[in-house]
Amino acid sequence: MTSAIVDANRVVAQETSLSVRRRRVRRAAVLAARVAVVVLFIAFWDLASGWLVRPFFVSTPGAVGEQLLEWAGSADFWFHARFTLAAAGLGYLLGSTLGVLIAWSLALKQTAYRIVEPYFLVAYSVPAVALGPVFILWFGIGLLPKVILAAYFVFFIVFINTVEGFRQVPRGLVEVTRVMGASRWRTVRSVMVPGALPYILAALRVTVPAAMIGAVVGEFIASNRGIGYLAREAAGRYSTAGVLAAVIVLAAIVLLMSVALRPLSRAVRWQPEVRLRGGAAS
Amino acid sequence: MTSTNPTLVGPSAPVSTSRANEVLRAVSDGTRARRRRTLLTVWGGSALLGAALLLFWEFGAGLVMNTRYVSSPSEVFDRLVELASGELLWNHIAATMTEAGTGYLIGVAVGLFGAFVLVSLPMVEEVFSPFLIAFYSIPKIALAPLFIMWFGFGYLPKILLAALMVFLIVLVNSVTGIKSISPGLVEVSRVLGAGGLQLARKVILPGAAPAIMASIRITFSRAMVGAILAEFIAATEGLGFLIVRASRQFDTPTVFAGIVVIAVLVMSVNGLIRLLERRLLPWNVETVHG
Amino acid sequence: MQLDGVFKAFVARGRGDEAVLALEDVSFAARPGEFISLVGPSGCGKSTVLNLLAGLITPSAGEVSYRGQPVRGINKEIGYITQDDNLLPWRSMLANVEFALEVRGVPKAERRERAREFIDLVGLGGFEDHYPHELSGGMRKRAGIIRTLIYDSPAVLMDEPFGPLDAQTRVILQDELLTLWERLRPTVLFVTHDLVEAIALSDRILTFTSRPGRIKRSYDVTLPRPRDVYHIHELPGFNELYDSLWEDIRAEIKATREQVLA
Repeated sequence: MTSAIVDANRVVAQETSLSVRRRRVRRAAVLAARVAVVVLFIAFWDLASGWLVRPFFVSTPGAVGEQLLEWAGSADFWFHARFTLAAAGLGYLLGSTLGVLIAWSLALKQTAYRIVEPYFLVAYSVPAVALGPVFILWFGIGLLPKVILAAYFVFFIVFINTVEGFRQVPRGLVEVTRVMGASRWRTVRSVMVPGALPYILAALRVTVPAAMIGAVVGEFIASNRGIGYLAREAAGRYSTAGVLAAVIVLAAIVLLMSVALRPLSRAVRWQPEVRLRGGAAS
Repeated sequence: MTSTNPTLVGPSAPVSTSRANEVLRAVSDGTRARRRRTLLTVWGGSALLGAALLLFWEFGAGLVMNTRYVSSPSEVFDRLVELASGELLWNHIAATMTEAGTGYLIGVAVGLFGAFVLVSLPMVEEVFSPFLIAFYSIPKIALAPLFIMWFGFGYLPKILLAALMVFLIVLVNSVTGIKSISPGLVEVSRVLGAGGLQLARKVILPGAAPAIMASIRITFSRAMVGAILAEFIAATEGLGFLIVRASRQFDTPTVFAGIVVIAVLVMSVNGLIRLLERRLLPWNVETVHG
Repeated sequence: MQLDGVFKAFVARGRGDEAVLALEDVSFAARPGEFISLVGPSGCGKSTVLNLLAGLITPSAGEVSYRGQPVRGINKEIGYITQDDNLLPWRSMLANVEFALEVRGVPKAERRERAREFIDLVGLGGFEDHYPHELSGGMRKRAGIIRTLIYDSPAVLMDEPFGPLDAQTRVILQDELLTLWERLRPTVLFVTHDLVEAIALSDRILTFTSRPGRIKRSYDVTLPRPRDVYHIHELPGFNELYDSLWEDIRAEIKATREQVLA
């Protein structure tokens, strides 16, 4: 009897340590493989350049690194970066605020929503990029058209997902709350808004790249400043290192912002991840 | 102790009485009337709103902004008719659709292939997942100047950018779709004797199909975005080229005409894909959003 | 609680505009403090009765009244425990239990105290800070029940509250429900498919016909209280009652099948 228990315990302990060890080995292997991928990629890039392909096409890791370093020390670069960040940031604020507010005011009114819905669908299916020239035409080549383009990119994703968030709040939850004695407004505040929150927050997170894209697209079309301008200008000089460095800077900004906004989704830890409509725009 | 004394309370025989019929008729009529009213409000409201917007654009917009910059619906319409009767517009449409369409097909094919590779080699997937996530979130259109520098002014950079815009979305959604097939379904099929290829063809593919189709559906407009953006930067034909050149010449009606054409194209292709989806997956009621 | 000659017809979504009769000429009255169960085949309109009393829907004909007043709009003086537990997923268990009191403007200290008391009554102590998704099905049910009973409404509607639970948990929860009911004595209208459950809990059982739902028979359950739900089936008279209830339901299920086949 006792020895059977001891045996059982030993078997359990053995299995546990075995599977723990196996998992640890596996994790280390995966990590090593990831590092290897990065190293090999850079090494291959360095070797291939000049040997397989002309450096004109792919530049070299060293040249791109040099360009990045040079930018880091130049006030000129930070001026451009600030411009793009300002356009993206303002556009993000404008687009997401309008998206949440308009969705909120419409989602709770069925008929009103159905009246405007076809127009939103049409506007949504126009690729926002196509509107870039219009905004430039209207608002010149300064900051404003980029802000508006970024806002436009952000608005629809936030709008659609906020509406979706309100829609998927279970009816039963609302009804039970009403029967409990909650007023209409109280139900909105205590049930509808928190219920829609995971969708709203997820939309706010995925639209960060969208805002950057909006700003950069605006700069591509017409601008004399910003990171998009830097990329285009480098392309004009056939400086591959410059274009790649600009792309890396943009990617780094977007990744940093995504990481910075990750706590947003932790704020709704009562709910597993939600599926968004419309997809990210990156 | 227990007295079970059934008391008949309701009507003893199934009397689908005149009263019941009366109620049924009243409710049917009431619902019909209410639905008609709602439909009327919605359609009427939509029509009115649309008319108001068009009228404001036609007559009121000039008060807010220089009419030169806002044009007007009638001008845009005239320009559309004018463009459509010439050959040039059709060439622009053909160019953009060729770029976006080719890029789209390449992107979808490569995305699907990549998904199957990743799913069948879990170790590879684990190694590459952080790179995929990073690549997923970087703005791909930032690569447009690079592509143009590499491949010049022709179709190639546009096709590649369109494909790149599509590829990752299809890849990520397909992997998620395949992974989200309930393990129970796979196990049951195994027990029933399905294995290998049969399992892939009859269980896994159809199971992941809704997610895959949804990603295929939402990505066409992204292919268009890629193509148009590349045309903005450097092109000699295409709708993006048409729009951006017109905007530099302050030819507002052409800009809007181009946008209308793009919207119609995107909506038509989306409609076609949706139709195809319904044909292929009739059992799929609610599609997944990517 | 009273229904007087109530008819309810619906037009099902996407089914054209022909209405279907869910309830036909339903009348009954509940005495204060009475525990009534509604049993009948699926889709016979039992839940419709509850929704009418909660004021979520209005009768197509006849009158639904509550405490002598016709029900107009949402009935806020009644408790409703639905089949889904409908706890707010973003609130901890404690905050969910307090929610109704909060909505009704009970001061914080008082509602906290009352909530703790009820939580202890059903043995949920120690799980106050858990989110609903971290609780088991039985725990969620308990939380759902006490958060409705806690505001002491004179009547409570329960729609198959124990439906999705496993057989053992069901019996335990039935027992706990009876304890709570003995203590607070609300009028209860309880919808269930489980005949043993109906017998164990109720003072009266109403059997329903298949669609359109009509009250077929009314049974008084005179088993002594307090009841021991674990041994209810050993009491004399249980089997006879069970058999006649089952006879009623079986006839209706058969009728439904013939309707469908016809």
